[in-house]
Amino acid sequence: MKTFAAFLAALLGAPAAWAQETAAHASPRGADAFDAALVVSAQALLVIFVIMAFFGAMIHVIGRLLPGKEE
Amino acid sequence: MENLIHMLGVTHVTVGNLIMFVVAGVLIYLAIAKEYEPALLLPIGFGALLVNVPFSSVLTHLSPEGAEEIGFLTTLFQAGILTELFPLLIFIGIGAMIDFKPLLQNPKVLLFGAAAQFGIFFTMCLAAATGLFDLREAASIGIIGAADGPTSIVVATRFAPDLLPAISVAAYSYMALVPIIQRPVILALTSREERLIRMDHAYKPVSQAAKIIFPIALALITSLIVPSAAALIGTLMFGNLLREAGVVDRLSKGAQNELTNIVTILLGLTIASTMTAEKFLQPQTLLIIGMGLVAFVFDTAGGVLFAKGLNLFSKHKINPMVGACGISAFPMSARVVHRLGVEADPQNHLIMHAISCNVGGQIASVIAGGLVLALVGESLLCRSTKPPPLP
Repeated sequence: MKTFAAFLAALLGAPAAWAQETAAHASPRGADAFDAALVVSAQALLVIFVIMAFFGAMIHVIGRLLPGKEE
Repeated sequence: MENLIHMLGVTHVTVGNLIMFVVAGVLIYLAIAKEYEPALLLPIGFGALLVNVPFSSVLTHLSPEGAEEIGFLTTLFQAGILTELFPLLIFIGIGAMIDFKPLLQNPKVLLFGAAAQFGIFFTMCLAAATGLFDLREAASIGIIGAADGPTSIVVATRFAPDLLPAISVAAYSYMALVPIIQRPVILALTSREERLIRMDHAYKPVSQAAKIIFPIALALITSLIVPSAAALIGTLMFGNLLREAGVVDRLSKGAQNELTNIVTILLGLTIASTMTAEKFLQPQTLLIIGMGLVAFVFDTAGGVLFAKGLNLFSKHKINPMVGACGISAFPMSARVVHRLGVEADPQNHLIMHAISCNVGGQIASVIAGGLVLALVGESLLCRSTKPPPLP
């Protein structure tokens, strides 16, 4: 779990720090906004995939531990 | 006599007001004649009529005598939209309506939910690249692609309250138009052979305990990872827990019916309160509505292409049309894919796969909304410091 948390923190932390620097000067617009949007998008998509894969695995485990009965 | 004429609203009607009456009429027509999301477009359309009457008492305004008069829609906006209360209450109802069983039987499809959020981020980059919108506004426009009205409203309220009317109208209109939007995109991206792929497999039974643990675990874990998504995912999963707990049927039915119906009326009317001519009739409104369409198209494309990509490595082929259901427009998207499957092969029933993918998309879109709030908001320190304007 710690490794997973560290992985997520790295995903969230590293690129966000770069984007934060860009955005902190002003509400970015134009090329700066596009750069920040690109970083945020890549980061968000990656995190969504990781979270969904994790939930997929979690559901699989729950299904194994608590199997349903045939109807 | 002159004073009386000055007090009449009709003497103050502008061209903008007249155009908005037509816009409202179109929304009412679409709701009644075409049955496009009537539960929302009807209150929005009617509300848009009322708010565009000069000195209308539905909005807080200055009377001709200069006195401030409080309007009930302004009060509702402050209480229900600025606080994000209405969209979150709607989520409780949606959660109570969704049966996650098909997803629990086939958890792999959760990945399609992730892939079909691509349109959000493509559109966000596109909006930012135009140079007409700052990052927060671009994020709010992109989130139309969540195909999830409440999530769009929450993000737009937080980041771009001025764009809220255009964003919410686009979000709800395109959800109603999912059958028209998705069909050509799916047909363009898939071959006939791919549409014929069958996905026959036996669905595993799901225990009651698993159905109860799922919403609790999902809400807790998502909130721990993305705290800004806690309200969105928490209300959605709370509604689902009411449904699955099996001991609060009265509350579950109340959430599905009374709560959802009442809040839908209030939400629709309150969104309409922002649709005044001076706010809505802007060139950027058309641009936002256009980019909303781009978001839906690229969501669909993302899901389909991801499924095609998986087929390169997978032994059990997936019908790539199912990937299109990763957008959260539930259950319209699943119906479209099922219909296309049957058109290609009358014996090919994709409905269960499509539905499981569709509910996975619902979860993914809420997580996407939370991530946008987290990454564009708190992380980028560019959260709006000025209070959003009242209608």
